[in-house]
Amino acid sequence: MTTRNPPTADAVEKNPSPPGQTDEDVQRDRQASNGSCPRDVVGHSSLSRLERLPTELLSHILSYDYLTWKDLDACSQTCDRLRAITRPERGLVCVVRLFEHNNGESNWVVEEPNSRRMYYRSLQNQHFCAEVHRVEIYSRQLYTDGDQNYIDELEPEFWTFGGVDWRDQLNSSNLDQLATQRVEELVANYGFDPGDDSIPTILRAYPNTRSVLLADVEHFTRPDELLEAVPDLRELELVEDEYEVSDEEIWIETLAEAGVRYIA
Amino acid sequence: MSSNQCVTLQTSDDEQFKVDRDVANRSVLIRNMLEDVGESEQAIPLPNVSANVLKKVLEWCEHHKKDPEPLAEDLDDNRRKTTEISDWDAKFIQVDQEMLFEIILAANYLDIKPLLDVGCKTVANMIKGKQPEEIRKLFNIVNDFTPEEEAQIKKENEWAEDR
Repeated sequence: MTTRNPPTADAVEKNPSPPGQTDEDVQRDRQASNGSCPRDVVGHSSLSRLERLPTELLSHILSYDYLTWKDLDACSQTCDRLRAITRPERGLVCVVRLFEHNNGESNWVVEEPNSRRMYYRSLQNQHFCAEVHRVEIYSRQLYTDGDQNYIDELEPEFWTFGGVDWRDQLNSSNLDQLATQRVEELVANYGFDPGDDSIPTILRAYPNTRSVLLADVEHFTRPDELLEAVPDLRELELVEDEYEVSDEEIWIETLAEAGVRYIA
Repeated sequence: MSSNQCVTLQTSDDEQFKVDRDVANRSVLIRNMLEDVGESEQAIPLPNVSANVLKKVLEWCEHHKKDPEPLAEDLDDNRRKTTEISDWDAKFIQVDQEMLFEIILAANYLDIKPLLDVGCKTVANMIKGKQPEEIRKLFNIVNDFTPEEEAQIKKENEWAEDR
């Protein structure tokens, strides 16, 4: 007779903790272990039923297979054992803030220059970029009335974007000149090609991304481009504050075909 | 051995269950054991499963005995997993947490992947959309972070989110 091993070893269930173990014992065990390593669950009878699942099963449940990035993030803040399991899956978050302007004549997109994520990406820090599992890209649209008076419509953020407050230097006579100067400075230093490729360009910097949030920027890219740029994508969240997601059906269909969870 | 022949399963608490081979075959572990022993009247020991849990597992196997085997590529394609559960399975899995986790462990031990999937999805659905404190309360999890760890988590989230 051939001996076959069961699918997984159920270490926890086969090794019940000693009777009478107290919370203090558990705490002592925990303190003795290295906090950065997954805690050995054997001998922790006071742990919850969920925590007492074997690591293999718990890792299976607490994954993108079943949960969203936000759920994994919440689990990582519950207790030591769940944190040890969800933390690697959750990874780091990269938040990118874009600022876009289109008045019919000029068209530009800049990335918030004081973002630490931008700094790391610019260094092509591969270790950091590999740790990022979620990228959130937010865009602020600068509204204008489509003519030369647009400068009057510029939002305060435009003048403070990047951490320097230019508003103190403003007066009615130099408004136009300063605004032009400001645009040139932003575009020269932090500008993106406002064409279709800006979002995939950002995303390609993070090869292990599983979760992407696009806020008011879905029009920058197409679903097939996104999937090409993020090969391991498991979920996409589209947030549109100002208007409906355009071509939502195409997004839903394309993502469903690729098995990517769509969060509207 | 004909497909409608019965097999006997013996639980960790020494209860015996006689079931159709079709039903028992939902478990890859049992199927392999039956293939290994061939024709035999002997009970198959299942030392990691108690009678009340096996009864529940067999109820699932009986209902799903005619289901087609899942394709290997479906099992491997993690992207295609969803948390939807059929109506029958959802009703079947409406049990207390103790039994839920026992079913998950038994499905894992017996290698019944579709049942394991139902159990895992159920736990995941319980977690979905909840805040850390709600998850702790639901599963009776003790917050065992030290104050230093709490501060570290808060700092990490602030740093990670860059807000």
